[in-house]
Amino acid sequence: MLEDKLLVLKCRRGSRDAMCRVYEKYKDYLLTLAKGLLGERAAAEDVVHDVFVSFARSAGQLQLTGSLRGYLATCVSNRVRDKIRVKTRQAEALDSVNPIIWGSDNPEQRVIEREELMRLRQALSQIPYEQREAVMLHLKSGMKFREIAKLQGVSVSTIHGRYRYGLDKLKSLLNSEVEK
Amino acid sequence: MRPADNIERLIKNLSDRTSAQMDERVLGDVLRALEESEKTSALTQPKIRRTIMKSPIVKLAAAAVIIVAVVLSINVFDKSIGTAYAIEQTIEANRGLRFIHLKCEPAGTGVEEIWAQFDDNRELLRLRMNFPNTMDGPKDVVWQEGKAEVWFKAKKEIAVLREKNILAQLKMSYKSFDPKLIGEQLFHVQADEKKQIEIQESRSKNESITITWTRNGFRTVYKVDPETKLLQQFEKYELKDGEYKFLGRTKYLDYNQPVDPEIFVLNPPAEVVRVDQTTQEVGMAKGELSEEEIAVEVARQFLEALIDQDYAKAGKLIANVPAEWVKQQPFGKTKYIRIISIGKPVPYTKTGSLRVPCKVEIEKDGKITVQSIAPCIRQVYGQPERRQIIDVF
Repeated sequence: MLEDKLLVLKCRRGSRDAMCRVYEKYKDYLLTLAKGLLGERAAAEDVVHDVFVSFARSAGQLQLTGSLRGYLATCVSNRVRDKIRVKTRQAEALDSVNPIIWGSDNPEQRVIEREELMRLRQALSQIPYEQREAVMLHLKSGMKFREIAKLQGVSVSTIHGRYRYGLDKLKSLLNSEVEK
Repeated sequence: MRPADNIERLIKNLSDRTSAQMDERVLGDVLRALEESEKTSALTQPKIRRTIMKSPIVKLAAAAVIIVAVVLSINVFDKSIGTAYAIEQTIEANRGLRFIHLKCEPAGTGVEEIWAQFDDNRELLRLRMNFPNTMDGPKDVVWQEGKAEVWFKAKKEIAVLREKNILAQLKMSYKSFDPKLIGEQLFHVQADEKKQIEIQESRSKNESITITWTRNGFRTVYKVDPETKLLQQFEKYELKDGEYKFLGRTKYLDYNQPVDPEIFVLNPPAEVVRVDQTTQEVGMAKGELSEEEIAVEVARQFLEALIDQDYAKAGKLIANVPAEWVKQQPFGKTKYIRIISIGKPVPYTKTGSLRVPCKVEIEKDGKITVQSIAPCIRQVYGQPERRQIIDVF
């Protein structure tokens, strides 16, 4: 993305406007990713806050080899893992803030989809973190399996496995809930 | 369809949005961090120089470079008048800046005129910005002591605000005109992308120094006073059909003139209503309602207030304007009988509001007729949890 390269260049020179633009561009995406990984909005907001502040602090020395989006997603993922290390997972911490879904103009359909998303969030919080990370980073962030493998420090086949097990577990959790 | 069948689509569609409070918190901390990192990098630069100079080979190379530079500069000085200009001189000239006045043309939807006053540390003390053509119509803004006063000239209303986002935006808008920041930006660009900057020295005392910055289809031409080294003006151009077309000009009219305190005081005519939103709650709390639901509710309460001739209540929903003001407006002079319908709100992009189309029965000249009325509802500045009427069509 040419725009991102220019933004990074401007951020390196201390441009406040460029920094605001980076925030505007990626804030919702990173919050969604962080909330998907953590399951808790307040903690997700803290992660996004820390990622952007750290980005601003190191902007002067920033040398990006890949995409800015991928870089920021990796930062979120690392921060989330740090957070999880110090705090045991709390599935019940799911907050009640409704997720927003785009692309549906039918109000009834929107209500159904909103409920689906709530169930999905609950299910996400119940699968092992490594599987959740593989699923979220691949589907939401569009990261390739080899990129996730590098991030998690494991082989590509392990990531394939984590992704597949994660999806299967999500399917089974959601189906069992429907069949109750 | 079972939800599990859609997992991949659902995950891709997951979307959370940051709140205004979060934006405020994060952006504030991010900009502070950026500022601190700049200061730190400025402090560490001499250390890097010292580290490099520890190497004897580098010392020899540096000495050779200096000799070549001296020889070259003697040749250059022979051909030019006076000392060569360097962008740092403009940065330095702006260090003691206390007051500045500038004008932009054409203003378009942006700022037309700016007055700014600084303290001893060159922090903004007071700021006035006049906008002739915004989505709210013409407005003048004065910022000082953490508060902004906005004079909406078309609406004949002054709102006193203390919302950090608006204040940050105002200061941010000013920064793109700040001559010291412009100098610093040019200095960095010159250091990183030398080819983008071209400096043309003045040939006489009456001719300005010209700095031309060309990048990505845009060109900015800066004029610098050869004596004071202060920025006189800059012009922006955009590359279209192989030619750089003029976009606009900013002229620096005054530097460090004695400050007339009246500049930073809004002096509206008597009929202008002043609403202090830092001390009064405006409009209606959104609560758990969606944007559309609250827009309909505000419209309903407004019409009911007009039917009941409760002009104080109607005024509160507008911007806490007094009942007397409401009575003077066309909708305050109409006798409303009943609400026939309240339609679905539609976005009104001109003002970033939701326009609620309504039909009401009114009494006019002893006859009952149907009238269309459409209040426009938007978030209250400085009170993100509340919604107000900003226009009535």
